[in-house]
Amino acid sequence: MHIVTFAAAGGIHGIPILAVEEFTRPVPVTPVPLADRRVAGLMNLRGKSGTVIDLRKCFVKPHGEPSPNGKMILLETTDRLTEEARQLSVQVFREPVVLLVDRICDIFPIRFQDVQPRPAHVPERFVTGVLKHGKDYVSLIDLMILIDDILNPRGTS
Amino acid sequence: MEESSVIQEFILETTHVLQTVEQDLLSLERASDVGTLSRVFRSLHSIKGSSSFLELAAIEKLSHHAETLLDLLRKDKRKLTPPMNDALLKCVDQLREMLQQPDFGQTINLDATLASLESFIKGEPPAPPPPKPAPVLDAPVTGSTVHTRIQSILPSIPASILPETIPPIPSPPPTPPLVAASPPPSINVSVSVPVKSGEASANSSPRIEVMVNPPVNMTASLPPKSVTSAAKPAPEPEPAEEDKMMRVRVKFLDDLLQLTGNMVMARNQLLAKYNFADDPAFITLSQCVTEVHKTIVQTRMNPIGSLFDRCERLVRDLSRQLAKEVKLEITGRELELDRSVLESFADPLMHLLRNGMDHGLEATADRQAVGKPRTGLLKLGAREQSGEVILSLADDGRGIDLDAVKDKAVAKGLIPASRAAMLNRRGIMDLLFMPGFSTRDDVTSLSGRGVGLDVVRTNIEQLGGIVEVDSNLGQGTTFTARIPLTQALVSSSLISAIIVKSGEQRYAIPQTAVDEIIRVNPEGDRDRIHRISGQSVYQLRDQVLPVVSLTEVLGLPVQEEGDGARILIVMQFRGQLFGLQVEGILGVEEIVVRPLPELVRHCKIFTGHTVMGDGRVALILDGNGIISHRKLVFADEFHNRHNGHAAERSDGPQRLVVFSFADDEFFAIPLEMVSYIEKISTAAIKKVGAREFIQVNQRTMPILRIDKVMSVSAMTPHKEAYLIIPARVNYPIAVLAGRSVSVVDVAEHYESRLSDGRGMLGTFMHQDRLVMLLDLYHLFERHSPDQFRSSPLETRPAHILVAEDSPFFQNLIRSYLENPPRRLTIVANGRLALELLQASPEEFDILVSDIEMPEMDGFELVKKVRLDARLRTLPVIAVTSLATTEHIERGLREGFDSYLIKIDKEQLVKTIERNIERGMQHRAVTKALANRAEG
Repeated sequence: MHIVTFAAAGGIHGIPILAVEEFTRPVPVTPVPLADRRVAGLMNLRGKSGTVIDLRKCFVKPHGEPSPNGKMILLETTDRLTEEARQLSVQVFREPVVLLVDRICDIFPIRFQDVQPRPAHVPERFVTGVLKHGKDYVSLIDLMILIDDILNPRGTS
Repeated sequence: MEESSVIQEFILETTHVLQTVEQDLLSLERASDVGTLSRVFRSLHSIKGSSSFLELAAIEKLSHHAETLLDLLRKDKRKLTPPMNDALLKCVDQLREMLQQPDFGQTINLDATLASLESFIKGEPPAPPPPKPAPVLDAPVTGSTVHTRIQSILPSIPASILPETIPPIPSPPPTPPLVAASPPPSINVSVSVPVKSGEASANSSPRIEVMVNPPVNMTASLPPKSVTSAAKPAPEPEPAEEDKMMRVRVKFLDDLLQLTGNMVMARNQLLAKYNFADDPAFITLSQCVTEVHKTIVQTRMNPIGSLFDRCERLVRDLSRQLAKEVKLEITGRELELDRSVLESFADPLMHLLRNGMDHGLEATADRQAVGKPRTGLLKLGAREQSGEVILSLADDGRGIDLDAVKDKAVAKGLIPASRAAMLNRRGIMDLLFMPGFSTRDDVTSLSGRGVGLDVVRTNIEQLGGIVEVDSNLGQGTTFTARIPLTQALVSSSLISAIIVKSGEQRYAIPQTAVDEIIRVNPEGDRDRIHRISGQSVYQLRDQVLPVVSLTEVLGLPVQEEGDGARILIVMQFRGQLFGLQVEGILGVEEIVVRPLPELVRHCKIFTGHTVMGDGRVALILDGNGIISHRKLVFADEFHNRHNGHAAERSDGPQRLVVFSFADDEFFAIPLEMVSYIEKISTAAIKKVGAREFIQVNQRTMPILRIDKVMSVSAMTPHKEAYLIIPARVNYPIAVLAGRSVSVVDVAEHYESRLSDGRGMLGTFMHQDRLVMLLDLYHLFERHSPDQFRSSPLETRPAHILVAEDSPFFQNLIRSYLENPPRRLTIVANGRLALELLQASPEEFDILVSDIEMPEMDGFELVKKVRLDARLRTLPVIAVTSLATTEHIERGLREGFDSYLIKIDKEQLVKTIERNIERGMQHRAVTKALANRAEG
């Protein structure tokens, strides 16, 4: 399976490339007052509206400042997943969701046996494992857990 | 692949067919009809054929059995009995279930159903026959049956108020068959007294009587032809060519709607970006886009009848299960709603029906013990009224025992006893909807209401609506759910919205929620916003409105005092007005409504979002959400002007009080001219010379008998009568009315050519009755000329001056304001208006002005008006299509009291009504000043 990695909150993270519909430059985002602080707002991309999750605000202890002109990763929606993605149990949300990150890094194949479980000191539930790629440690993000945490916030947010 | 699509088609087709079969079976139980029976037979036959072709053995077997039984019925070798129908309906249910299963029901146990069908085929009833052995259908093929249960309702309706067209009802025949001349028409039972607004509305919606649980009914045979017309929309064996339908997968329609929504938004973006507005090709394209969108929205509309059909089945089944005889009366079937909205009604409605059947209606024996008709009555209705969909379900059961409800809520610890003691009727009823009020196991401990009603409320509230309950102990209970149409906002529908700004962001407010727009002055004395115990308020004429600032609502930091929010948007939510303070208005736009994405759906102050011309997202504000978010407090709970009668908003000029004097002559007065209605005993009327007086609420009032001031028949003597006490007069005269008083909504215009200038403004037809619209002020003047000449201010209708140059809008405004009667003077430009005003400043109560006019425009007019000391307090309303911020701001700065940005009838009428009182004060003051100057 191929993953795409990106930088956010001072770390490198990865998600399955099959979960991604496209990468874009940032487009204007309309903030939603009273929404979860991890939600940057709503955006419109060619007639489709998406909820923008600012990944840089999703970590308990972020490192570094968020880049002023980040990148957007538009995720697939469940009904548009390819057959291949389904077979690999890639999971995404029913509605369009966009991740706001600092920059896109790389795309490369991974083998499951290379993935280590989440280290004990990492508190984020949505990080399901880590793997070494070159000199970087890449934390793998489970999108469903990330989104579920925002839908049903518990404890600290 | 190909085979699976064939099977898919079979499932779709069969599901549809089964729906029809179910309806047909239910209707056959009420009245036999050969055509319907044959259709059911054919349907099952074709299901059998298709399933055999597709080798779906279980479905084939079941449908084969049903077909065999139906064949016997068709050939009149068996008679359809309720138990037999149970079996057939069960068979429909099972076929449905099988269609849903991956193996098409190969594993479902059909033995019981097959056995019961088998026994009916062999002609041996499996269970003991129903109490009355006589079968329901006496002569299934040649004659059919119609129930004359209508009889039981009849005596309670005074013959005088029944529409004349109703023929005599045939008396119950001693022995069938009796051939009646014509089918019994449906009877609008709710025509009678007392005033209950809306109940007897003018909707000429056909009523459909549905009989359930027929075994004990008396029956009368009728020729088959008339039965079809009496029973239901006639089951057409062969649909007419132009009515041919095609089934489309809902998903396609959803997608199509979404796509056209995108097209509309893209079109708006193009308009914003390039100046295409003059290009004919673009205009054509633009219109097409709008039309396509409209058509697709229409495609998704379904009559609510499709939902009510399901209710019939539920009521029938429950009626048999609970052994209660129930009659379900349905009105408003033809009301059309988007299918997604309809779907969301289904659950709460079924819940309420079940509740009503189970707990609302008493057992048959109990009903008889208290002298009620054996058969319980459930009335299910839908209607649309002033922008709301109103669903109501009424039963004539045991009603709600308020004390028991109170005690129980206290016992359950839901509220402290001290608070319970203070609750009014409405507050107590509200307890029923509290979560945890009632659960299945303890329903018998009180009147039995409240089973999961909190769930019903939650469901309705999710649609932005409210649900209310009203009940009379021993007489029944009515549940009413109101859902604002703007709230039932269907995804991708197109609405007109006011765009406001807060900081960098824009927000949209649906125009239907906006009452008026006012400029406020944070510092000055006049038009100030005050703070009372932590809440901002604004004095709008005679009302104190709670006010919130948009910045506050959005949870953004608010600067101390005067945060630049100088525009107050008066929003209306269910009769409650509140003000939303905003920094500025950017204009009015047609926007495409999109639902709020799930990740932000908990932000209740928004109802959806849209994409603006520049491609950015804007959020749509929700009045309801703002109220509950800010916990706004309203001065009074609900204006309850009708003296204990059901309070209904008195909106729209077409709402009339219709009453009789002589029993067969009907008159009408606009509801807004009525303060309250009182039932009196005619013995209480005191005579002093030629005059009559009555004591009502410690006040002695003269009585006006219409026959004394107009040439109409004298009142038929009765022991009781009604008094209509007019509003907005300082010398009230009570109008005596006969036995029938009702509030109706009249859609048609009255025929004003028949006006006689002596008290009658015109006539109109309502429910086949000729109704005369009265000029109350004129009649009062005739009744007591002295009183009324000396104080003409309060008694004559308001005089409205309209400055408008376009003949089209002149006519439009005239048509908006002519009913109920108002005095109108229309001039074509500002200069003429100013001349009139300056010539007789005390003549007019209100000025309505366009902005763009020749010779003198609206801005200049209002400026000049305000410069004249005599006209400084005259209410002036701008009505224009110039809707940019600059225009609105300038208008309010120059002195307009309100700025209406579109010719919207309701808004215009409301704004004028609200200004009239001030206008009358203005006129009184001006006149007094003028007199002083002269003297």
